[in-house]
Amino acid sequence: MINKSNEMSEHDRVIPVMHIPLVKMLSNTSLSIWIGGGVVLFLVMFFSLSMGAYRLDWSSVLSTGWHGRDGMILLDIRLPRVLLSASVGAALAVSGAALQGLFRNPLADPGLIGISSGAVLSVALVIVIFPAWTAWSGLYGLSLAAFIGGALTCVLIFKIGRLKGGHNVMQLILAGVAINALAGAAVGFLTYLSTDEQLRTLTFWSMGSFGGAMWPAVWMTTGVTLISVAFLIHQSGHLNRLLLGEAEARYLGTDTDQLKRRIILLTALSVGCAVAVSGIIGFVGLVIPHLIRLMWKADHRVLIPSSAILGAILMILADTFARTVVSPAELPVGIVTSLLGGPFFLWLLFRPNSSGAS
Amino acid sequence: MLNLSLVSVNKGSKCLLHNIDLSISPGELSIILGPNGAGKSTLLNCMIGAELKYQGQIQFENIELKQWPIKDLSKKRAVLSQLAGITFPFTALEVVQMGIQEDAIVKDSRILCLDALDKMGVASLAHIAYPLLSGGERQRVQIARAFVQLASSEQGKPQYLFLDEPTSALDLHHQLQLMQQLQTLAKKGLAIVCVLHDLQLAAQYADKIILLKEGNLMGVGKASELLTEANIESLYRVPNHIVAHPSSGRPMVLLK
Amino acid sequence: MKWQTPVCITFISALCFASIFAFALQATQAISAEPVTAVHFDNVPTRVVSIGGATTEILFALGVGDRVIGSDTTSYYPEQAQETAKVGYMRALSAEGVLSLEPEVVFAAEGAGPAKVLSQLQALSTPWVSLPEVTSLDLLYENIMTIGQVMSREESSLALVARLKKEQFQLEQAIKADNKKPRILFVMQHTGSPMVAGRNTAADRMIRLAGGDNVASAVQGYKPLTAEAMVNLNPQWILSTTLGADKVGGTEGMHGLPGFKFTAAAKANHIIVMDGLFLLGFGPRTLQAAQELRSFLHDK
Repeated sequence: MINKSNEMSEHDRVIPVMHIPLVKMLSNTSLSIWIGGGVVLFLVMFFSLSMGAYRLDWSSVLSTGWHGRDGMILLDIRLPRVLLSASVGAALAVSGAALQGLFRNPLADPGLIGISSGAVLSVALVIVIFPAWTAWSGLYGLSLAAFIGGALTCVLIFKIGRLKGGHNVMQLILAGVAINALAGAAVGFLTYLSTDEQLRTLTFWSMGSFGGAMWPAVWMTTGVTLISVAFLIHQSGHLNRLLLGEAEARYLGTDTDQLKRRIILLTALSVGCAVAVSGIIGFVGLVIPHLIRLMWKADHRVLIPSSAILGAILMILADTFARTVVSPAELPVGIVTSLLGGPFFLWLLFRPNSSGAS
Repeated sequence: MLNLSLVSVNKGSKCLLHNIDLSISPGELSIILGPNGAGKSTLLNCMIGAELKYQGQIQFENIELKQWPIKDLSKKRAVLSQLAGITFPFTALEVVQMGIQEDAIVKDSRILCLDALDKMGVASLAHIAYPLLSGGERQRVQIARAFVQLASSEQGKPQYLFLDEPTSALDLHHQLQLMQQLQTLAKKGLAIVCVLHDLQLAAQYADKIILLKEGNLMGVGKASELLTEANIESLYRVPNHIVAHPSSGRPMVLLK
Repeated sequence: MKWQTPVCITFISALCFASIFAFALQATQAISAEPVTAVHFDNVPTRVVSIGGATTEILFALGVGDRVIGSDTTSYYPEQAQETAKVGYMRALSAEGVLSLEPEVVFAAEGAGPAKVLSQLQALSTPWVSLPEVTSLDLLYENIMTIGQVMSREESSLALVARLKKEQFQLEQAIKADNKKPRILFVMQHTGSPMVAGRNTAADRMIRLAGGDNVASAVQGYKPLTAEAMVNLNPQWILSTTLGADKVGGTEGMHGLPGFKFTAAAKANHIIVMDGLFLLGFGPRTLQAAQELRSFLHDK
């Protein structure tokens, strides 16, 4: 007994799913996302590998192998950079999607709960107060400091979120606001103490760039990203339920406290890693999940894997743009992501047939 | 069986529930009635394990309710609270799919969900974004979700369904439709507990009425025994007149 | 408590992971981040990339400016340097950008970076000559000789150093004859609390070289100055770069500095504005800049 009035009104409503053949062709399963997205990602990677300030001679790469100059540029500079930008893009986008789901807030972002600012504070401390640390830990001293800063912030957020029992989402957000403010003040004070050169190191570090991509950073970031994406895909059904409300999710058999704990930990880990290897790159975590929700689906079972792939693709493209547009110099990639993402996002929100549902 | 014995709930100095003795059996449609602030929601929360700070005992299938792991509990009982919105543009079908148990043994969960939507008369809305649905449509989608939760569980009967004012956003047609469905489900062996405000609906469909007044149990039993002029007057302070329904013979409350 | 176990486990494992990672790096990247300074060239390089304004100036002063095919954004003198390919700001270089110019040698002032990019360049054995920061004129002479040697311009570099040394001697003699040291304050940034140059800054070195007294020498590095401190320091001269002064609308704008109108410099309208690279670059024009500054101070 289907109500006729519903059928009538249905035609007036806008369906936020892009009802185009492409979506119908790919069924809703994650498998098709992986295959379709994987192919596009591979093509984008190949495109990005072929672009760059240095004019790569492919025949020379083929003839001299990896030990020739061109081969080494491809293997030691371009390939790690492409892979690093892909995994950082995926990590940021997936963390954004998961945190937006967790906080049931479309404006949530890895920066919101203070992980990024914790990392920045830690780096500022090392640069200004303990310059000896970088001497001890070598090239990756700042990355390590960022990572530890991010992890410590995460523990702090947990302690605060736990103070009144349970993991109150509102309290986590407020804790994030407080941590952001405190870290901001501390960094400001350190800037005052810093010398001119320290200040410039800090500024350039925090602008975000994949310029220093090297293999160990690639392994670490890719590893953490893969673990975190795999876990979040596994938990995507539970993330969906969380949107009904925490109590409802519990009635449905989801251990919400455990889920929140794990999501916060994994996003802290992957965002900490991303910040450690590339500095602060904003906008990606916020925009990518929105793009997918506006253009396709909000279901986390689709949103998480497709955010990972789209994040990787867009980050590779942004970095390719950043390193070729003013070649032989390069732009900070954070500027590029904001410049490209901002207007596109606005267009999506205000396009004539936008559902405005999110 | 769900047994409550001497259950009391105090928030600060305020007594929300006082020494409630009650049992819910499979195959029964029980309806909790009472004026605002009588403790209906608190009682429901005690029954579903959402309110843990109670004194007394709540035995669910012979085990203290607090001891039940939430995952096992979700296979035995579904809950439909008063509705909150969903932030993101999930489709109605996706919302219903949230009800599917993780270790469901159903072959095609999609068909199960579409079927549940169809039963609630909202199959045509399956691919519409939930935030765009009307209140009544949302309510029916959520009820379908609760059905799916129980239907996809591999654990046997008895199962329980708890609903907090499920008819509040429904029009007359759908109110009756829902109550009929609940009655059918109860006949099939489900235990259903429902908080309602509508005395007529309660009187027509309830197997058991639970009357609450200021945290105290005023009475448990058949509609014809409990819905008396004196009781209604005492609960709602409204002068009324009770007549028998012409076809079912159940009580009907007329206002003077 | 319930949360502690997973948090601690993750945190500890993350730490272990990170430290193993750091040590593994030290092993694999045993080469230091500091590039080699002693490079031997069989042939005279014809494709040169120069990082740092002073470095580029030296190359042009030695007459090999036509071989500079790329430079950073701080290299804007002489004018021909601006026409070379720009590889970005000296502290934000791109490995591939530098490599794309296929340089036979890269001259880089201390502070070029970031360190990771330098180590990438080093891994690809890019010929790299690192020049220490010029904290004394002797280091400037050393840098000139180093560049001259690599570019096979020993004679030119010897001549240039000799000329500079002569100018240095003359300047020092002239300063000895001065009976007073003018009190100078270098202001870098004019908005908000002005940033002034304390000890261990290029501005401090230049002020002393020109025979002046840096009134802000009590502080270290560039620091913001309050209006009251400005009155207290009571400089006779305010020194600034063109870029800094332009931001506030030239010398008139500088009268608006907090507390400035109570100083001797304001009363006498003693404001000196000079080009940043010329004044603070510590390249081959350093002595010329010092002389020019001194001539301002003594109204010659």
